[in-house]
Amino acid sequence: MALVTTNHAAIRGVAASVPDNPISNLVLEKNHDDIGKTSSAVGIDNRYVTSSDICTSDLCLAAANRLLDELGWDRKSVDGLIFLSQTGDYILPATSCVLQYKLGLNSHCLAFDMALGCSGYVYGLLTTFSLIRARGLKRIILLAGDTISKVISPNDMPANVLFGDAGTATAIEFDEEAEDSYFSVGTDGSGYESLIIEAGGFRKPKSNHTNLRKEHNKDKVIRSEEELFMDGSAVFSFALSRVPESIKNLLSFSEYKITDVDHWLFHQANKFMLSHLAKKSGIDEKKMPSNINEFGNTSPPSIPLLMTTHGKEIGLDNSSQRIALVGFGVGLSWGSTIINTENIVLPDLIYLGKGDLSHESIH
Amino acid sequence: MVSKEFISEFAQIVEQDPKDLHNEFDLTSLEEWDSLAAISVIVLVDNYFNIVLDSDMLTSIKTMNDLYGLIEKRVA
Repeated sequence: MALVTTNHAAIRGVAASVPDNPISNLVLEKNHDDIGKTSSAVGIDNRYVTSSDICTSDLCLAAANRLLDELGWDRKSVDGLIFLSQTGDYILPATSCVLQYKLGLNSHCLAFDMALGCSGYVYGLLTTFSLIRARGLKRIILLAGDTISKVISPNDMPANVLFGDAGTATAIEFDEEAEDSYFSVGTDGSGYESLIIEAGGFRKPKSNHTNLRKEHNKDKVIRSEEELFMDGSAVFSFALSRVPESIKNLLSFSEYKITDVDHWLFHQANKFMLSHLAKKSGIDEKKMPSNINEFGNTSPPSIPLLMTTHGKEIGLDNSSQRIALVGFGVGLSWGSTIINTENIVLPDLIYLGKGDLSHESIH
Repeated sequence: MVSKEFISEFAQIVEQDPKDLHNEFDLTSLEEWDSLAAISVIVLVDNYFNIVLDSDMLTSIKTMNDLYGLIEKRVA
């Protein structure tokens, strides 16, 4: 497991947007009697699901526009833009390039995409902080989002109950005074088939065969190869064996005690898993805010979304705090970090409707 | 090595009477023995023995004895 320290970078603000389309699992349960058990175990009552008109990039764009306005950052002052997602606009070019243009950022701006899921936000911060530490870049916007609902079979009830859509923006700035940040990250690619969309890439391009829905040999759910497959118990067993170890290594590496951390912001995987991970890692659940019941599992944006929905409640906007962020999932990949924060600007959550898209045109 | 309490919690997961869960009990005959049950059993075993069972191995077992065998192998 890689252990990394960085310094001189600080989070200035976090904004998030969800599609203005809440879907209640309680209503779904009425039509499918078999899912009540699943939705109560995962602790998800509601999720926000996008329409075909709204892409991940639109959600991230709305969040970034709001964040830049509330921070009062001149768009010309942004040196870097990273788009972290598994659901970009095109095979090529990189969505970050399209968004550099749509956000009206200067052409001196560095822009690239990162393709990771639930561990991604920790990797995104590690990359951003490292770029700033390397000197030269002062202000970077890290976008994290996904619209996984678009790649789930309508017959896949566990996955339909679990996943929601969201897009977020995090503003990170060079700060000579910023305290050190600590990261612990790892990868176990032997589990790459546990969470996978097999077709649509270059290994298995889309065809008249890959879009046919048929019974999957493992979980017997009717889906096509262009839709998400998840081996829930394999991912669960992976998380239980890797995450507590990652946290333990992070704490000993940083020389912080578990009680030195003010709040623990976990990737919102599902409620059952989160409470077991807390127990196994010895973390007080009262220090672990959660929004899983309202938003479901949103993949890479789940941690910044949680900062938007619960940050004010735990005082991230008006105090100095030491927070730990923990992500894990598809890859299989995991990461945790301890970061010191101060007065983070937290705009209200955006509920993005189709009608709002015209307002998000080019600045 | 497996306590009464463990069996009683296991019985709750698969919605059976603990008295019925003898060593040769065929788990694969149960409708309740699904992936959600597997996840609950992974957590149960972790709570009692501090080991995380491999999910593929867990879903390939047939009887209670097989489950005890899996745990024993990992504890040893």
